[in-house]
Amino acid sequence: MTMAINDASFFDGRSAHLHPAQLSVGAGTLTVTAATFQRSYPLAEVALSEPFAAAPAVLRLQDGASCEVPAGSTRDALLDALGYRKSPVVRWQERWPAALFALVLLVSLLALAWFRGIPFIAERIAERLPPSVDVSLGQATLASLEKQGLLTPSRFSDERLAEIQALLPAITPPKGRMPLRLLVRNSPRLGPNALALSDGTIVVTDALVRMVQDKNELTDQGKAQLIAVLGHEVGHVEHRHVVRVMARSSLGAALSATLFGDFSAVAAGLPAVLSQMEYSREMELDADAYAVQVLQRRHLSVGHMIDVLTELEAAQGGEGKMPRWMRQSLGYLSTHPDTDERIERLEAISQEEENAED
Amino acid sequence: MDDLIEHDGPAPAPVAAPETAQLFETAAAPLPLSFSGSGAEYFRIWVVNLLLSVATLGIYSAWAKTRRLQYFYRNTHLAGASFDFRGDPKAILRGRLVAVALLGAYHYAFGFSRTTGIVIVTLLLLGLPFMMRSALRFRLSNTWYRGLPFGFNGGIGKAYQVYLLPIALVVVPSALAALALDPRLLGGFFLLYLLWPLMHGAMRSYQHRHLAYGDQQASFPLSFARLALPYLQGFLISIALMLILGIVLGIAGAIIGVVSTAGGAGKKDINMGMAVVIGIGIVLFYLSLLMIGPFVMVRLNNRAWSATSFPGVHIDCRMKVWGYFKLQFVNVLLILLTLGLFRPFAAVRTWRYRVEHLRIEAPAGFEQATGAAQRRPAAATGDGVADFIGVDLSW
Repeated sequence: MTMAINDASFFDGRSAHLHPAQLSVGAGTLTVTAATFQRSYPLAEVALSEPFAAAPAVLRLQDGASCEVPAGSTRDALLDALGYRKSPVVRWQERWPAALFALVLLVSLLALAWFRGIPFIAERIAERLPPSVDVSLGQATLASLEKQGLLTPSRFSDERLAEIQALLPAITPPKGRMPLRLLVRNSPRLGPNALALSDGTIVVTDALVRMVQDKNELTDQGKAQLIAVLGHEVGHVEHRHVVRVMARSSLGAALSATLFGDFSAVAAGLPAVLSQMEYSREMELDADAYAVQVLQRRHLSVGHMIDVLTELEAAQGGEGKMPRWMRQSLGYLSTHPDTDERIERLEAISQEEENAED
Repeated sequence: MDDLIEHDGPAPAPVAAPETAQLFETAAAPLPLSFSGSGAEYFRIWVVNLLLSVATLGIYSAWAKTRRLQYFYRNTHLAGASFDFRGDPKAILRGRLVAVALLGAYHYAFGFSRTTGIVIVTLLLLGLPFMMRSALRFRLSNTWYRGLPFGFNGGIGKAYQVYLLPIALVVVPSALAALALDPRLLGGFFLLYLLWPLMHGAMRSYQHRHLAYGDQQASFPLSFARLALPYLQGFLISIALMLILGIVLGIAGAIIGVVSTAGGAGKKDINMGMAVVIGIGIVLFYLSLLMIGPFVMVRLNNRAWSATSFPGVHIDCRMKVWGYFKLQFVNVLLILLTLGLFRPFAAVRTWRYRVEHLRIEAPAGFEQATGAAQRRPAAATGDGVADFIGVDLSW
């Protein structure tokens, strides 16, 4: 069967001249007939490109020539005769229901990547990062906090500082992941708070120490409360939360950059990532569980931890003077999970303890 | 991965076929360019492209990009023929892999050590101008019209002259910050941004001056400083607007003061009136600032294209500032309201606007141009980097 169309354009590939031409297909050949010449091409040597609804079909021929066939029913009949088969992708994007299904798939895929894929890959990456990363990251963070004036030397007497330092052995795990270091620093903006840095440095603010003091004395109860707070931070260090969170938020930034084309967060590097990081709910609860172990090892009641959390909640009321990210991310009093939820969990443990004693 | 980020895209390289000038013939009417694509059709292409790109962790994006360019080019018509894109998706993929590697290296450079950081920044500075040129060559030598490819023959030395400074403006500040040098040095570096209009003008004139279609070389008589003139105009207009606004608001304030004092209004009411006047003034001021960007873009684009010509073929670009502003305003608004789903429609609207404001004047007809039939393939590396880092390659 032969089919022919009359309104094609032929270009010989040597000049830009447009030759109006007739195309006919039959017996395995494509024949181009123009005013002054006729050429034949075996069908196997005709390359077809994806046709769009209103765009001409482009036929590329072996000798560098090409034809354009205007959109319309004759174009599609010609493509059929040439043996053009639509690829699955082309058929997919031609139909509305399939295209909308692609949209649904896309949204689910992105959600899956965000909530499952990134945490999973981040964990694998964090596992492979050498401990030297923890050290340099921690040092960089401390340097930047000091540079910003967020941390200044403590106002406490050397005596009191020595008393606090003496708590370090109490919180140091027997076979720790890395040596711990305890710093007491004044920081009006952070308020009563404590931070764990990835290099094993734990920073306690003057305000927190004042909060647990009783009439300017660091009583045993105050010490126990400090141990609860420090235990929580040691939990973050031991479970390597900072590096894990960093890996997760870097990946998140990379994903959103590829999606939205904003590479500023990726290019800005560490500071941007740090400012967005936030311990996950699981990590906070994990650190709490660790703190409970520390308390139990020293035969101290979980009640101390409940007390200090309650006091912190009252002191800050969720709206400290420090920037939002600081409060939420590195701080001991994370709003995420709710302090109430944490207290509830601790009370359940405390209840068990009492029952065990009975 | 610009398929994930449907930016409004480079204008097509819609340049007329050259022809031998036939003197003493009556001038033919200008030829319009037209676009036959539709937002609805492109939406379906876009969403499938996006899904496949995400599902293949970006690998498919090279094929997606090819399909996108083919969609826009093949639906762009001039004088009975269409444009076409014939780039090899695998070349684009290679370019993108290099781009990802470079971006990764840049991101983590100073995390390893100072030396690594400095080495990588130096490599970027030395490599990117070359890649920008490769990007131009790749894009143009794969853009076809009437069976002939366009081309770009700008020299390497010139590419460094034109691109080194703007690239340094992007790359160096973060390196300086990472090295924790004196912040004043960084501030001094940012002063270079004052030269941005000239840099932009130089880049655009490099892009246009070395255009080729087949064996026909474009001519571009405009100097880069004159190309940058719209920036100066935009600056002067914003100053004038500020002055006018200030005077009008001052008069309005005075009238309110006089009228309300005469009417026996309290001091509070007068303050309220003043606050309203100042508020309106601020809103008007910001609105006019929003207009400056499109103003510069449209004027510079018109200038650049209208100064570009091939033997016997002249290009005329007449985009309107207000029309383009309205178009982009609606685009941004609808993209936000639809959480991004309007993007493909916006891309089609912008492309159509650009295409339909280009005309080709060929006083003696189109049909006698000859072109170089063979062309050596350019490495595609530069294209990916240029897309990824978002350096303006649009023209």
